[in-house]
Amino acid sequence: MIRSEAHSKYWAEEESLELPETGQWTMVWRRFRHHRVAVFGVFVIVAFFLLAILAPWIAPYPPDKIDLLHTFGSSTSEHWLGTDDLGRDALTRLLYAARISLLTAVSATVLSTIVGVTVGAIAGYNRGWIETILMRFTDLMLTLPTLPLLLIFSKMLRDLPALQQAFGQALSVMVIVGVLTIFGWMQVARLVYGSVLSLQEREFTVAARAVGASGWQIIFRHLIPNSMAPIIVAVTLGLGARIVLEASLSFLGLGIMPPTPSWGNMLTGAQAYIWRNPFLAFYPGMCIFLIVLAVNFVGDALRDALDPRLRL
Amino acid sequence: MSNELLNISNLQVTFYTDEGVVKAVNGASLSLDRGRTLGLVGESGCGKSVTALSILRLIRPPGKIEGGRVQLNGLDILSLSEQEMCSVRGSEASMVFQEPMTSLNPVYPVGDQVVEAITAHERVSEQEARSRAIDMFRLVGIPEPEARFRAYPHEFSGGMRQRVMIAMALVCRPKLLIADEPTSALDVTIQAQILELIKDLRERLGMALLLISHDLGVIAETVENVGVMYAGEVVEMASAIATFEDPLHPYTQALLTSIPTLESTRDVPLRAIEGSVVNPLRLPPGCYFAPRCPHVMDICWEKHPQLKVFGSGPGDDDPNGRQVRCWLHS
Amino acid sequence: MFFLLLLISALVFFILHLTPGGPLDELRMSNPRITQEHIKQLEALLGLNRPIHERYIVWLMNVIRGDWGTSWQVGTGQPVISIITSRIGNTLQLMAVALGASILLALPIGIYSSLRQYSWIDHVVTGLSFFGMSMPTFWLGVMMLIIFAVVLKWFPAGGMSTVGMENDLMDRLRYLVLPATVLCLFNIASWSRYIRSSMLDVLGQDYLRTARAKGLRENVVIVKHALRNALIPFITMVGLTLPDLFGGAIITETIFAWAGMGRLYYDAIMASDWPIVQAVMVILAFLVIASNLLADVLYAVVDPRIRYD
Repeated sequence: MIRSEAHSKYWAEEESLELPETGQWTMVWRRFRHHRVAVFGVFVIVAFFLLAILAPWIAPYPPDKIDLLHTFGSSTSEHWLGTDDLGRDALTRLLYAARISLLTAVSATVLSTIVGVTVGAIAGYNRGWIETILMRFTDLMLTLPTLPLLLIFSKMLRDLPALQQAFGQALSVMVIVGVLTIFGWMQVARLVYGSVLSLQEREFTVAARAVGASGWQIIFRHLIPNSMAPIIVAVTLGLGARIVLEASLSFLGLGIMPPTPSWGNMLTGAQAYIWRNPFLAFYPGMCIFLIVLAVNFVGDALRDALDPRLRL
Repeated sequence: MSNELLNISNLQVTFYTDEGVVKAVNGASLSLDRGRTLGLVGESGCGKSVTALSILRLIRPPGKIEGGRVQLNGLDILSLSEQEMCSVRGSEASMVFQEPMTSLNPVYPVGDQVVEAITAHERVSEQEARSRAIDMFRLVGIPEPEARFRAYPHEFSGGMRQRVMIAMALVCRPKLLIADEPTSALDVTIQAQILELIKDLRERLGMALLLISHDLGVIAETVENVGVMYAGEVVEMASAIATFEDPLHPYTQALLTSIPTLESTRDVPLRAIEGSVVNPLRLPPGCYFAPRCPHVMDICWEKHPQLKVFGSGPGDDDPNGRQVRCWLHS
Repeated sequence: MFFLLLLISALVFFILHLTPGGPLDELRMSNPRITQEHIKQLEALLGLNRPIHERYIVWLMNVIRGDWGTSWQVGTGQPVISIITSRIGNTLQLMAVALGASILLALPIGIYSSLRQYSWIDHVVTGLSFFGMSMPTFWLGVMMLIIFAVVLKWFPAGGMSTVGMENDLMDRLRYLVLPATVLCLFNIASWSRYIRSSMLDVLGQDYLRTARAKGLRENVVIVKHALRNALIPFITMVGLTLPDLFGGAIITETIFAWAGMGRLYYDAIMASDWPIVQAVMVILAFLVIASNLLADVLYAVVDPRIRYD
């Protein structure tokens, strides 16, 4: 049969419609790019981290240089953000505080994730009493009110002489990271547990087992990588939550102890001096707010981009 | 008062999706007399459900009715206000949907939901509405209607829920019942029961029935006239007998031959229709069925065929007459 | 669930009493003339020289009997119960107002957002929700103080009432505004998003199509059919956030000098006043259990699919 022109054109277009093979991550990136605010947020986060890392080199003054003649100074060309109650340069302290606050939040996040992934994977893979105990424990920890317990544990750990001797100056950082980890692993554990449960019955798990892979191998090389999507989202959002928690604890005097600056402890007792220089209280909180806002936007965009329909 | 209850003329319904603009219904026309039955048949996505939803203006964004006319019992549906439309839905014409498991609100007892259909249209006392609803339950075959009145949807099986839906649809004695795949989600034995129920009630209450289905068997059993749709258009319209004994459109023919029969043996391969359902975003330039048609000619690729109406034949009292949209018959 | 109560109280008790600190340390260090003898006597008096599991049992028995001990530092010598009862009302006021405001504001915002998805209002509301969820409570509190109490002088900068006007309702409300706002902001932001997404789920359900096909008006469909279903997960969630509300109250009461349980708890921790800390912990544990129970009960009430026959 002689094909008419329209006929041939139709079939030609149809065949050329095959999409090129794109990697899964490329597709995720493309979907992420649609959320312009989130992309901007990534820049904000990177900027904060850079400033924190480079603080010792870019800060105009040493962080503990006291100048009792110029306390509560307002912004001048010498002190761009003014000075605090002991005459220390606010900008410098802000930069150094970024280091500590981000360091503790990131460390706590990394540790919590490790603990959470381990607990969730073990519970999901080994059904039976291990599973029950682990998940009941996880649920129990989840119902506990976070802040009140954080306060108690912070105070308690900080007062133990054994720990004081072991860590010395770094005690407050250690305590905060420890305490945030103890109360922060549950979300990830639950997510990984759920994911592992559903992946258990998929073909590749059965195949791996048939080939003789051991439990640990299956967990680490198959189950966990396939649970990455919800983990990534939870980790991102958890980072923001931890930054705020560390700051709250430091604000209450149970986090990072002065003179080490933290965004939180720069506001401790601010109610007392807001009458003298209100801006001192503004900047640290603003930093927290900006980076947590960026993290939240990024986390939300990641959640959209990693939609289960994509099936990483 | 004319005999014609429903007249759809050149209906155009468009969906504005993220992937593109889809013309779900592209010039569909049909006619249904009082107390008669019409079936709409076609593959998924051919526009039959959208056509039905348009009668009651239940098309939601991103869909939009963009053209044509819908006449129901003398009312110009497309020009009514929303408030007037509310009084049409459920009382002039009612609809029963495909998924009985999700079509009832899970937090209210079924009795209340049926009563709601009554009180939306008539000013009656609670007691009267309640007793009418219970009578309706009895009529559709729900055992122990008084007790079941207070039950919740999750306490019913799929078949029973569909009976509740039917009760809800008929409680205000509509003149037209639109049933959109009412049995597709049910077990085969329950399917038969529900179809019987619908046929029985239709006769008793004297309603017209528009039945939508992709299942030719269901259509054959239930309706007098059949409309076949493809890619948003009506491609053939005939009495049920004519459709099954002497189909004119190649699509209809292919549909019928693809049904395995009791006589088919194992070594005879199933006859599927070649190709896949047309992509609504990429319609062929001529006849939409051309890529799959076993009798395709050059003209089919170039010009879109119009609907040709053959006069009513002897004994054929269908107001639609015999219609075919195909270059083979023009 | 009472097992949980026991567990938490035991855990906290043991932890607290294993750490050094306590009033005797202060005493020891501040007054060089206090001898070991005196300390031993005081310890015997406070019952601190008995083994720890004994002390726990004693404490537990006392608590059940209604004797919650005496405060060590915060209200030295006063019975813990009276300290708590004097403060608990204030916290309840604050939490109740914040809770009420959160629900009353989050609901309409969330519903409206869901009905106008992708409109500019929806985008603004979503943006503001993110703002609200990212703002650290303590910073917000301090900022509110600065703006409204220092600069604008519209509201008082902390405290609960003006001297001499302790029983005046209007006065109390003036002092309540700032702390209650701070306490409820996060919830408004987070709950309105939750309601929005819950409504969006419901808006796609088939039973709404049925409701429209019956001839019901759109606002009846939305309120009577959609909302009723969307509220189910929301109500149970509200029940479960009560303990977190207390956590927020700790910070808020501290900033605004609000004499409530949150402030008490914080002061007691800083002063190592364990009787008070334990007592508040017991109450808190009770609150956790009660709110879990409440959430379960509410869930069964609003969702007929979950009924225990």
